[in-house]
Amino acid sequence: MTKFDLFNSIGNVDDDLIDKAQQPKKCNKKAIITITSAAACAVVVCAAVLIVQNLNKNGNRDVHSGAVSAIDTSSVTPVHEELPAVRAGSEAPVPERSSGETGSEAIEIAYEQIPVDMYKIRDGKLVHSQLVLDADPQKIFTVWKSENDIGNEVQLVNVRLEDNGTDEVSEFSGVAVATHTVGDHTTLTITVTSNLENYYEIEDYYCFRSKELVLESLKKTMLSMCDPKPDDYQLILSDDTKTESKNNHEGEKADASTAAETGPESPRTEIAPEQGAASGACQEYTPDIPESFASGSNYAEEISESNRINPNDIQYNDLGEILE
Amino acid sequence: MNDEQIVEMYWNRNEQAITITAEKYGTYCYAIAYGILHNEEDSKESVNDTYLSAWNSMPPHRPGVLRTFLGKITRRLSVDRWRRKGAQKRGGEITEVLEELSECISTSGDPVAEIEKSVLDTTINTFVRELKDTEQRVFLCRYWYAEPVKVIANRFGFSESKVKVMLMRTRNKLKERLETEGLL
Repeated sequence: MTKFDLFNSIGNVDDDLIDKAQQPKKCNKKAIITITSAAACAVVVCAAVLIVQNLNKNGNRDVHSGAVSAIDTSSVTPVHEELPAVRAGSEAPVPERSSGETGSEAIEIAYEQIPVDMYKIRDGKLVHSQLVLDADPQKIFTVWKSENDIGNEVQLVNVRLEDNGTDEVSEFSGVAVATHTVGDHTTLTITVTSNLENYYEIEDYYCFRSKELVLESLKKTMLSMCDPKPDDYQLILSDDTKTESKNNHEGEKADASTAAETGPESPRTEIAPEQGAASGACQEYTPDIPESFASGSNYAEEISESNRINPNDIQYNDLGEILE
Repeated sequence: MNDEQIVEMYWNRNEQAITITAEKYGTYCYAIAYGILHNEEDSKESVNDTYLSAWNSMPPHRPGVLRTFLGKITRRLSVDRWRRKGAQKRGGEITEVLEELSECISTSGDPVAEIEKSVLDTTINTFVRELKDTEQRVFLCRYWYAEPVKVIANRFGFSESKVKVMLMRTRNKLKERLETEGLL
């Protein structure tokens, strides 16, 4: 076979393939992204207008269904779009419920909107853009995955912001009080399922990537959600897909009466570090709970049945102190 | 006038068919010829030869898509003309295209068995059809239409290096396929 034979054979491919070859759409990914972003922006603006209208009205009713309009704050906002911000440390306004609404309907927690530096891999380079997103690591991770063509099977298992501070658990009038003294060196530790490795290198002509780029983009994106920026960063790849702390509040359960009474989660105010409550996301921490408290065995012996505390009844103030 | 009507005119030996063909597909055929021959005069002659060949082949042929039918004729005639030209007069993109395709064939120097042309055609056709959409189009723009890499890159909105890498990977796949099928 000669190169002419090959060239002539290529000339005999089916007519529909030849016809299609010279009629491609110009695949301008930037245009596609721009148009998609503009469309998303328009949708979000409309949603924001509806949300504001609902907030201004008291117990609005849908004319047709008679149900109370629910507020959905789980929105992803593209660049330069601002939604009404919720101050850090405060709880989002909850709409008044009508008597017809059942108590089993969950209220979505409203997160503060924060600027997040999103890093995505394009043509073997990191491209940076700034998005305004909910201060929720899960949502930020979801957006990061979407921007970098990473599948939904990759999950964010845990996010922890730890420091070299000290923890103290004391008792006051039979009530356990956990006090955390913030240190001067913070580390952001994120745990992701190990199937992230499947996306280190993709045989895709349109997205040249490497392990280093993937990890770097994840690191920079997740660090950007913290203010102030942590001193260190650690990524853990885990095969365990159990969500240790989906809402990152598990570590705050310093209450030792862990008879596994897990009732429905009640919304809590995030514990703010001593640096100030205005720093937005990434305020959670996981104090080292002494083994005796964690197992509950010793503590249970010391507390009488009447003083046993239901974790669901514990209320916290802005500094993380347990209120009576 | 649609393709069916034009083909019917060929079958009825109506000479107007050639005039209408020239009006409708003359530019298309010229572009294919020029991409291979890179010479205005030779390209025009190729296109004229195409009309003659079409007249002689209809009947018995009754192509469904007249455009690609004429394109194939033009392509074949242009390559033949190119081969007949002296080495010093050869030019155009076709030289590079053939050099690239030569990577896909065996260079061992061993005697190559007689291969039925139809087997090779079928293999190539299947291979191209199995390619991903954009790979397929880029491959055909380069090796069917003999378009320069720059033109292809501009059409698809890619960089030239991306197109070159894409073509190289496709050629490697083609070579593997030809080896697997025992054609190399």
